[in-house]
Amino acid sequence: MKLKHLALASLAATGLAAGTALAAGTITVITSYPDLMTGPIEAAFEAAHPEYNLEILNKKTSAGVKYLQEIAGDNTADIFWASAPDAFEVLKNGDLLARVEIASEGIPEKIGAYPLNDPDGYYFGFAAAGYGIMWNERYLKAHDLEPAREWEDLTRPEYHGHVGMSAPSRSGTTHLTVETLLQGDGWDEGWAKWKWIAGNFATVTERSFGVPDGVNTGNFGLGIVIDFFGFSSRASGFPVDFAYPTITALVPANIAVVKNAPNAQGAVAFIEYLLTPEGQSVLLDPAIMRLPINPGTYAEAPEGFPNPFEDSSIGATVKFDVEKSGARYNLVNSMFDVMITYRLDDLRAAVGAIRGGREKARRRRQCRGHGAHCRGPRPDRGQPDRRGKKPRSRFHLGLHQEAQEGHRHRRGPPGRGRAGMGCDGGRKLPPRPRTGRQGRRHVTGLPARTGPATPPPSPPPDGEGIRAPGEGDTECPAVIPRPSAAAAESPIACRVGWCPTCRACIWSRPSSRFC
Amino acid sequence: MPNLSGMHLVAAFIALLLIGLLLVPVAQVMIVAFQNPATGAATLNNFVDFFRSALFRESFWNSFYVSVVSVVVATAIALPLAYITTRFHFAGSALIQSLGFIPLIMPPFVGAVAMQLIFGRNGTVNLLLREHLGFDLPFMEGLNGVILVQSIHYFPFILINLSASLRNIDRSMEEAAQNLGSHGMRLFRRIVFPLAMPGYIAGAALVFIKVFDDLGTPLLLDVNNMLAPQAYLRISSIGISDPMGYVISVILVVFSVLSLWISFLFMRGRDYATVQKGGGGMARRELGPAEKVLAYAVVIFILLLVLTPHVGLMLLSFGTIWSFAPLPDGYTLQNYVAMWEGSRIFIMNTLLYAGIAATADVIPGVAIAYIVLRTRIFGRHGLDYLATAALAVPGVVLGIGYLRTFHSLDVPFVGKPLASWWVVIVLALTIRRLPYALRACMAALQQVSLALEEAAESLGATRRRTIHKIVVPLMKGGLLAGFITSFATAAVELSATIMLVGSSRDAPLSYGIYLFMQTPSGRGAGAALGMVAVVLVAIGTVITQFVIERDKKTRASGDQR
Repeated sequence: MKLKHLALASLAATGLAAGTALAAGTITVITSYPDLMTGPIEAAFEAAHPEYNLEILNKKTSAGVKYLQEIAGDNTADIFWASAPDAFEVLKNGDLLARVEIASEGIPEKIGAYPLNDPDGYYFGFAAAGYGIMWNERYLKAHDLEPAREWEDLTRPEYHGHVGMSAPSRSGTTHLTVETLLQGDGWDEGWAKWKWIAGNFATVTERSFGVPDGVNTGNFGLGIVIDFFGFSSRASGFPVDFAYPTITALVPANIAVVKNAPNAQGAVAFIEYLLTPEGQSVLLDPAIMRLPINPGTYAEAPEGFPNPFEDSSIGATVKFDVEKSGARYNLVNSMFDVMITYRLDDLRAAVGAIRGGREKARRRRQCRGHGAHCRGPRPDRGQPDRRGKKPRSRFHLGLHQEAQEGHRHRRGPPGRGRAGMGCDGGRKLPPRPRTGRQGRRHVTGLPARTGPATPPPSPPPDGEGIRAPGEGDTECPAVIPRPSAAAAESPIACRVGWCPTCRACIWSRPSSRFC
Repeated sequence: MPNLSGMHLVAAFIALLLIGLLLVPVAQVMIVAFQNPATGAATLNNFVDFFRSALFRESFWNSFYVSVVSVVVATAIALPLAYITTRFHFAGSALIQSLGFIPLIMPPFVGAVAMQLIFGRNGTVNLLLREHLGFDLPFMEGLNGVILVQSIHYFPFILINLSASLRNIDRSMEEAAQNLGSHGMRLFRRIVFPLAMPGYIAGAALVFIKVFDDLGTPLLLDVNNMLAPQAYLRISSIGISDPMGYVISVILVVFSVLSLWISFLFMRGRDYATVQKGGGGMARRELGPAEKVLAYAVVIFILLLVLTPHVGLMLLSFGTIWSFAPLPDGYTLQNYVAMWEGSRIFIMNTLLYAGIAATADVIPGVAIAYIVLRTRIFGRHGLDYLATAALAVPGVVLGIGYLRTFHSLDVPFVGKPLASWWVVIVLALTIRRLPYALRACMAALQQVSLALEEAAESLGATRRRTIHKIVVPLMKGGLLAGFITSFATAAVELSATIMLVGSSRDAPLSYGIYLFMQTPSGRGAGAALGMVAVVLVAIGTVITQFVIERDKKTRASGDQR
């Protein structure tokens, strides 16, 4: 250090508080929490205990665990401070935590259905967190969507491509979210629901903060996040909001003293301070916004801040089983990655295809008795051309074609506001961004449509739509580029665009460039 | 010969350093790839497993595809800039060269954030397109986004090396070709470009390898099915004992070394040295009015494109809330205030670390280049390969290796292990940036004719004196380029430092930005800190350009108008 301080002394006239450490010394804290959270707590603690100096070391939860394992032989850290209880279980089982006595007052035993502290006394809860859905109000307004408030809502087709989430293997908090739903709905049901939700994903982010970040910037509309991301984003002024679904668990965020800590006394002092009313009220700082575990602190909370000690509906339905979660920790992470993260494109296509098929069946029923405008191309307009290229999707041929047809029924002119027309069923499906191949066009036998007021055609019989050009067909004169993401209606988006004459979707087959 | 043994000593010393700081730590980590995870016995089964997995095969091809396309796109960006600014009398050439260099100094994750805001699915460009024209373009979807960000981020490698090469082309070569009737594209294709080949190949190889190995950009764009992210994800999620991450690391190393070797093969047997160094590069000529308009249009378009991340970052740093809108809702200076309160220490640390690392890179860089190109010391190419292999080591792997290797190594007088001392960050930066400096030094030395040294030696100069008085001064431009490249990229390095930062007081600037960017309210302040990084390195680059230009003027006989 000396060398560097000499070098820095000339540069940094006002260095940080490095030199101010007093007799009781420095407490080294390994934490996954960001500076803006630790900063106010550090300031409050150092004001209350001027004899201590807090040294914060920011690492991701998993990196922090690894760091402690690496330095265990010659430990320099005093405190480990993170959200995920699983990480503390790993450290506890690895004999890397110290068992200490913490004196506190007014802290209940449990929050929701979850015990706050480790029964063996190795780690302690200092705040609580639940999981839920956060959304960008401007984004939803632009796409004419309602906020999703339950997990079930996120499986609905209108959210296709609008949802973001992190992967449980990269983020301890996301792991808890996945695990909560699995425990709340059961293993099979839970995974089924996750796969349906994942079919609506726009992306799986690498960091858990990538989700609130994506929602804040409007990169996607809804995110599955831990509550304080929603509250603090809102407190920072972003046009976002957050809701707890019914199936959620309140889980304590924890803190522990590392084994063989150089300053164990200071570490205990810091934890005790965190649990005092003053320490708890710092959690309500706009940049932090975590649920305090001292019920008295909620008196100071801002309007609309949830109070789990009064509102018993939050987190009451799931009794989070931390042992079960710990036992299958790696399994759940790997399954999520293998089924969802690395196969997201396929999963999205599959979910879109299934919905396309269902939609088609539904519409066909609905169109019965609707009259000519609802009918598809005349059956004598030729047979589908299946000699074309192999479908590009890796999926089963049948699914693929079904998807195309399911899509085709909703073809129409580009532009906004097509929801609610004729047989469309009012579905408004989100963008399906992809790089289109230019110049391939799609055939239908439909007459030109004049405007959005004309009702859309009804679905053709199975297999209709892609056919060899026949006599009397004219080549599509031009292609309207792919419409805006907001107006592209099908989960399997029209790849290239619309023919301005016949309003047909220009799909991707060589045989499809005639009207 | 006593001088030769001196070179031997230098070579042995550098080799020792490289082995201690690169080979041993990486070997500590990579040996796992060849071990049976259960028994620890040596095995190749892990590699068989790798190639059996469809996901890994797909990742491999994606990485390869992205790297190749990025080289092509980066060339398309760099070639016009380099050619126009070196070939013609063009106002603001130095400015363009400096601006063109700036993309390199932005931490990739910051660049990705800014690019998302401008080009993303709901970024400025697409929101405007959709509102006015009714369609949008998938700039940032999947692999497209990686290619775009990587090309814009790494094209300066080609620009800087190609420009240096173009400047060093002997005017007499060109004049000889013109005397023989060659002109226009043919002159460019047959004479100018081949003579600039060392610089271009050096730059293109760097771009290829960096993109192939890069971790931060795909991760930030949430593209997981590429090799480097897979390695990182395996190590960080499944655990340190999972062999697959190490298998991928080995494959990354092998593939990078292979592509370098191919570029060596390509260059072998060609002599690019030019005898006359006084000519000051190619003859510059004036542009016609139409040509001028075209040239300005091309340059302005390219500069707008490559400066997009900076424009986005600037808007973000001055903006209040920027959410689903083409521009921020309002503007404020508050972000800079918040940044200044908490991050002076990061800026100081960065200047210190990157300065030491870049200096420590150029010196062995020159030595290795000289040993490889001018001596016959046994194993000299091994030295080159070893230093260059640092490119292929993912920062995370190097970080873990350092933690493992240096943890038990106590530093005298400091009283703590090397692994938690700030110098370890400098060492990691030095090793990781050495290849950049080395490539620049090699390209510079390749263009110094052996005849000049032989002339000096036949006039009685010792070898040391020849190096001191002839070789190094002639390489000066390349050395500065190497220094700046190392400095600027070291200043924004994150992947190795994130493993090694032992305390936030020792953290460099990129780590500070990373910390800021982890909170909703800290995005503006993080962007402000990013702007500080951009401005710092921009100043450094302008100074370098100034030095190069002045240096050239004092040596050159002046432009022939």
